[in-house]
Amino acid sequence: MTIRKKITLWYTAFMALFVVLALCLLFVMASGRILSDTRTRLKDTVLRSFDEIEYDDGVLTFDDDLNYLGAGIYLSVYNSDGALIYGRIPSSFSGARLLTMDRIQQVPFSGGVWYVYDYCQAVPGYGDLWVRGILFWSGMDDSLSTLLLFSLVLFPFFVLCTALGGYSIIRRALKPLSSMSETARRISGGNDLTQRIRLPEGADEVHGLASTFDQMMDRLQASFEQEKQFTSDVSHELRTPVAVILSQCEYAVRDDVSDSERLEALSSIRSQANRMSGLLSGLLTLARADQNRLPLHPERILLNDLAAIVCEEQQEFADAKKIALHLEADPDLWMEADESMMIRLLINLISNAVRYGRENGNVWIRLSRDRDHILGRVEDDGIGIPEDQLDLIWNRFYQVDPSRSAKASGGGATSGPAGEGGYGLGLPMVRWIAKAHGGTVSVASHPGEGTVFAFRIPRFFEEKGDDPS
Amino acid sequence: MRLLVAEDERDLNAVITKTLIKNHYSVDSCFDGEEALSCLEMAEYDAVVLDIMMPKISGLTVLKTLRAAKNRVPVLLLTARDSVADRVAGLDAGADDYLVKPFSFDELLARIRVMLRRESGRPDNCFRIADLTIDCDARTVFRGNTPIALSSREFSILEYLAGNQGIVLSRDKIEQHIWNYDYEGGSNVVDVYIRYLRKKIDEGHTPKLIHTVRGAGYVLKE
Repeated sequence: MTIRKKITLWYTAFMALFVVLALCLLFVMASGRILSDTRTRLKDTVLRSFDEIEYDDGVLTFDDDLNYLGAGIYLSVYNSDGALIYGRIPSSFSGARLLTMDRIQQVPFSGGVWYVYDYCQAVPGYGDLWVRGILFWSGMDDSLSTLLLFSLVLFPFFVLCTALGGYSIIRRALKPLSSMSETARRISGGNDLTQRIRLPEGADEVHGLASTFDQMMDRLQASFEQEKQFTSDVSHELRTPVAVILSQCEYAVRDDVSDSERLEALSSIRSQANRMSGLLSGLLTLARADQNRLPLHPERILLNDLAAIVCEEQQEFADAKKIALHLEADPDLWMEADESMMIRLLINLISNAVRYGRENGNVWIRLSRDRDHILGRVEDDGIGIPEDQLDLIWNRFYQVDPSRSAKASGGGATSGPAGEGGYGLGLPMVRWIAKAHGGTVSVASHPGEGTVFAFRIPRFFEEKGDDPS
Repeated sequence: MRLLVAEDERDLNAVITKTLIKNHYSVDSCFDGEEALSCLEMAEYDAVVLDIMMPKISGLTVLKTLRAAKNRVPVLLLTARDSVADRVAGLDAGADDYLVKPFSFDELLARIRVMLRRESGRPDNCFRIADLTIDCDARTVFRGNTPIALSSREFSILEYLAGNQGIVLSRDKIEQHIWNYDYEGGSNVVDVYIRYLRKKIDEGHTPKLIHTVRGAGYVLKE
């Protein structure tokens, strides 16, 4: 059964029940009220009837008014012996012959109840005289029965209208759901991730759901596309060295190649294999980081010392481009962190700055601390990064100027400024390391003027249960 | 020092691995004989903790295969079987030591230390090169009488260099021995570590002990 049928059925049944209950209550209260009015009327009529009875000259005279069947009340007059001396009793009335003083008695009768009220009063000169009033009460008076009739006729219409109206509203409200499930079916059926629900503007829950769904699809599509891009980048990055290796091998196995040429081919093969190995290592490390399988070994380390060593290490590559490295670090920058990871972070940031720095340029490494954080800035005066690419640099394999960096990392076993940097994996690694330590890293750049990478990492390591990425 | 733990009971494997890591070894763990063999083929370990009863390939077979391939890595057999015949079979197959489950971790650690020491041919757990003293038990380093503070990685690298005195170690080899499979890439990191070590150990002292062999690697010698 569909939701809209369920909802319609349920609330229609509920409404019907509610209306029936309300009507019943109305009837009970109304008839109770009318009954008590009627009984009061019966009593009043009987009591007032004594005014109509007079005793003159040994004769009882009854006013005409007494005979009048006021509003269905039968009046009859008895002497003290209980003999009927005046009035009428309804032909169908039987029983309750005994006269009972000042009490309303009920005599059940088919289709209703006789209400009987007797009263005894002394008539001057004559003696005691009984007056009895009899009233038939069918449990219903005219207005009530009209109301009942109306209700009975209108009730089915009411239920029908409620059901139909509700059904159409619900159907309209739930219609987007069908379109959503249709879209989802199309997406899962085919490979078209561009499908969207795209409801027209609306502010209700279903529209909210639909737009959330669309946003989710946007993200999914983006990440799928990124994945696709990633795979194609990996294949591309791997294909180049493999192609070089293959062609060098082909060349080297020819008979007419001298030994020195073979050696040259071998060394070229080695450097390409090294490149591949570095690339694979970087990928593996990031994959482990993604799966949270890269354990950190936090230790107390002296970051300014470490930075000085890394700068010395990078000096060779900086010299090749005649870039001056300036380390401006506060003393005693102790922190709790994984030493290897901090080394990698520094290597990647500094080598990155060297790679994208201009010849004869400068790289500034500034380290300081506040109460709880280590603050670091690596700044170059190089080519910079265009505004629209600033977010992309954290993506794997993203390189602002691929041709340049490929040249820088294409060297042999001991050259190339950095492990991951040359493959576009350095900055993602930096970001992962900062995050894993509970810190952040950010970038600002002016094309043509230079780039600043800034990181901020807590000085005290906090074990984190969840995935830092 | 890089160790391999091969034990199919996952809880025990986990707790052994954790204990070893806490004691500054870098550890790879695997859960059957086949995995153990492929790990041993892929990397150089300083010692192996090997369970005998394992799925796919038994520990004894792994050990025999290892010895047949002239691999002399120290092996500590771990087993629930403690009959004399079992021990003899294990030791004859080429094991260096034999530990019966259940065992205390202190004993396991001590036996691993003994194996590593025997391998290096030292009488105790200290290295002495010129006036440099490396105490592998206390994990302290002295140059003359000056204590030198090292991080655990720095110590591990120094320990590895000291265990191979006079032998040139490539960066890849150092990387392999200091880090387990969970850490790959960035041989520049090794360079930075060596540079840092050299600063801490050699700066202001003679003779210089850590030497770079260009294009080949690093060596610790007088």
